Amino acid sequence: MNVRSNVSKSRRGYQLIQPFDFPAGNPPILSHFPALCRLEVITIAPGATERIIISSITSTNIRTIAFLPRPGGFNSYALTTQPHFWEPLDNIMCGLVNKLCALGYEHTLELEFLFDSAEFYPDLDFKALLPKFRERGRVRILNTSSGEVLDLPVGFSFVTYITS
Amino acid sequence: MLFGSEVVGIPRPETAFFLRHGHSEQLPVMGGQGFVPKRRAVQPCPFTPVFRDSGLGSSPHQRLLRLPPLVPPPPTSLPAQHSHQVKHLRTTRRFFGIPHTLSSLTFHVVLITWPAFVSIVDYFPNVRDLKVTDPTWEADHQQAPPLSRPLRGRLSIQMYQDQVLSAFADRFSGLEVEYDEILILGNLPTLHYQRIIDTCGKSLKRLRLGGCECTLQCFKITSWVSADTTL
Repeated sequence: MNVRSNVSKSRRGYQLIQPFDFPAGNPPILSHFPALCRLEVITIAPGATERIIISSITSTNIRTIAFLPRPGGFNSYALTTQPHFWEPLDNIMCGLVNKLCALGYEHTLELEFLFDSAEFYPDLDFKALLPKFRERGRVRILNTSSGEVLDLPVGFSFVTYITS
Repeated sequence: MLFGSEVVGIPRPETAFFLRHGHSEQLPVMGGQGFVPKRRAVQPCPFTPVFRDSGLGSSPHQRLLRLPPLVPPPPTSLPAQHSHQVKHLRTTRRFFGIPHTLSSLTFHVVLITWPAFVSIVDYFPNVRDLKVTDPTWEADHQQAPPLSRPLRGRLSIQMYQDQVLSAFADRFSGLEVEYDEILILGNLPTLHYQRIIDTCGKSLKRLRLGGCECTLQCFKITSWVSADTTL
């Protein structure tokens, strides 16, 4: 059995595990941090808690919102599946961009997903990932171990693959 | 010397000698060895200067100084030892020689009073990276000394007990801080998170939050495919 077949089976198994959207506890509200430029959230999978945190941002200096999966959390394969799970995040990110633009936001908001090598599958199809947000924002998928970057630019469906 | 009567110190003279001459940039103050990950295990010798092994962004000139455990975590079954440690903690004053070269300070599983914590942090004016991991706050009715300057740089907090985080938030909100980067790791997002980051106010530029859910409860398995299934 070669390595390729093992990876495929693990992906197939992961596909059938659906993230459970957790009710939010008392997430911090980030509405009064005007200098905030980067928010990183370590999580199993983005859920209601993370959406409340993100939607509370009002800083027009914000450049990047990053998700770092905890061990056992989502991987880059999960980004290409379960659209019903990523749709709320897409709506929240789209709403955040609209809100910030109304406040005079002049940057391109980036949403980053940081994975290590074991969770980074560069050969997947990310065209359908967060379509609403990508009309005005950028999605980057990073391999923190090797420095590889999948760049999904604003308004385009193609993926730029950058190696360090 | 800004130290009052309660100072966490270094119990061995040779270690203090090294601190005077070692020009260390990082000083982890460690408590129980049982909580230290294996790759960061405390060596049996009094001190072991090693190069930082965290990879990206680390400079080979940064020296990570490992010290023997200063104060163990609170022993629940050994009150006599507990009181001995507190007494020892209050009589040791040996942070000399490195206040201006230290840039990173870590409190790892320490038993400490809040005035002592504030005194130590304030003693090192160039600390830009302060980490506090699973501390135990010893009761103390004295008021913490005022800071000589606002604390700046990066603050990393890793506390998994709600009462510990609550006690930290209560006292931290009374400090004058201007951290531009905060990392908080804990079990659940609570109102204490809000109080901690609110203390920084307008200076906060980078925020990292972790531990928002419980791993075991976050996924539900709807079905499963056997390992022999081919795509």
